[in-house]
Amino acid sequence: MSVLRLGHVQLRVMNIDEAIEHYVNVIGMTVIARGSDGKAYLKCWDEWDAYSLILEPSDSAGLTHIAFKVAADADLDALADRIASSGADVEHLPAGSLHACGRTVAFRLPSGHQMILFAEKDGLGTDVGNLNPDPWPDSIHGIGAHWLDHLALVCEFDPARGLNTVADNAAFLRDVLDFKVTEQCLGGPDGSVMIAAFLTRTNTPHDIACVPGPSSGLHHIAFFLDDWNGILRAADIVAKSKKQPSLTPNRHGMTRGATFYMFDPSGNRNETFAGLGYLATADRPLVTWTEDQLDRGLFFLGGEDRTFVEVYS
Amino acid sequence: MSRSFDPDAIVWPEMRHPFRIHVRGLDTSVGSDGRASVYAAIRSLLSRRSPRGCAQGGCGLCAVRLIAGEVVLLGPMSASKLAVGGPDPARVLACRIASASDLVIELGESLLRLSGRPVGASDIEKQ
Repeated sequence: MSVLRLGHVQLRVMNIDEAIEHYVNVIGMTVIARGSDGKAYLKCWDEWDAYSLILEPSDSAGLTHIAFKVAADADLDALADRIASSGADVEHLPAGSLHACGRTVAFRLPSGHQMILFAEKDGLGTDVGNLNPDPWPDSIHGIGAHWLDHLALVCEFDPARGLNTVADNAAFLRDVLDFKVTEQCLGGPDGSVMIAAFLTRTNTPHDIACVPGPSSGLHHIAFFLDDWNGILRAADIVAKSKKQPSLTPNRHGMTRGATFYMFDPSGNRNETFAGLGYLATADRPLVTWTEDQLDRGLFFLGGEDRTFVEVYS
Repeated sequence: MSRSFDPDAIVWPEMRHPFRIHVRGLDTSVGSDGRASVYAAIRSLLSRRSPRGCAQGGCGLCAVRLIAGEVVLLGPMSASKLAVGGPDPARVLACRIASASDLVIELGESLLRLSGRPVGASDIEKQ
C-alpha cells in the first residue's frame, strides 16, 4: 500500500494561449489534449503517462490540485480509509472524472490544498520509446525538461494564532501517506517551530516542499534537467525571450539541487532543478536547518532575499 | 572629501516624462512614460531595488491602491490577489497598469514594507 510518485498538477492560468505558449516553447512540453472546458493537458518528452500538467483557464493564478499515483488500484481504498481515519473528508470519484485517469480519491491537506490519488492513467510512452532508446529525442524543444520533478506548497502559517500548516502537512504526509521527511527548517523563539519541510515518496530529496505564508498557495512547480549546463541553457532561453523576470542560476543548500526560477505568464513560479541532490533512501538521517541559516539553505551561493518566499500565486 | 563611490549619492537630472505618479505615504513622485508599467516606474522607490515579483499579475507583490487618475490595463490581474485584505475596488496590481494621466497611488502591504518605511496606519495618516 503506497503512494508511488507525483503524477500531475493542475494550475490556474489567466490566459490559456499565453500559458500554452510558455509551457510548450519555453519549458519544452507538448500539448496532448484539449478539453471542451478549455483545459489543456501537457507532458514532457521523458514522461510515459499521458500528462503531468493541466492548465485551467481562470481569473486567478495558482494551484487547483496536485495528483499522486499509487502503486495499485486496491491502494486507493486502503489509503482512503487511513485518510478518513485521520479526520479528513474523502471523496471517491469514478474513472474519467480526471481526463485519461481511472477512479480517484480526493481530499484536502491540512493546508487546504486539494490532493488527488489515482492508480491508472493512460500511457503515451516517452518520446524515445522503450526499445534501444536514444538518450534524447530529435523533437526536443525549448528547455527540454525531462519531467515534472516536484512542487512547493505555500502553507498558511501564523504561530501567533497557533496555526502552522507546514508542520501539519508534514505530519499528515508522513503519518498517513508514509512520506519521508528528508529536511526541515526549524525556527521561532526556541527553535522548535517547523517553518519548512521537504518530503519524498521516491528516492529524490523531495516530491513536495512545504513553506510558510500568510495564506495557502503555490510556491512553484519544478521540472527536472540533467545538470548545470541544462540550468545555464534554461536561463539563457528565458533571458533571450526578454519576456519575464527570473532569478539567477544558483544552488539550493536544502536538497543541494542546481536551480533556476522563472514565472509563467500568469505569475505561477516555475523551477528548473538539476541533479540528484542525494539519494534519499529510507534510512537516510533527517537534515535540519536553523532559521539563522535559512538564506544559505534557500540559495547557497547568495544573491537573493526572502522576497523569494513571500512571492507566490 | 570621501573618495569612495556611492551610486545612491548621484543626483540625476529629473527625467521628462509625460505623467507623474505621486506615491501617497512616501510623499514623493516619479515620472512615467505611459508605456512601461506603473510597477516599473515606482521600483526606484524601493529600498530593495529588485524584488523578484512575477510582474505578470499573479503574485500580488506589487499591489497598490489607485487613488486618482486614469490607467490602461496591460493584462489580467489575479482575482485572488486583488481580494487580499477584503474587497477594495481601488486595489490594482501595478505590473498590469500603465499611466494614462497623472496618478495618485498608495503602496500596498508588500511594497510599503519593501520601501523601507515603517508599516502602520500612523505612517499613512500623516500624509
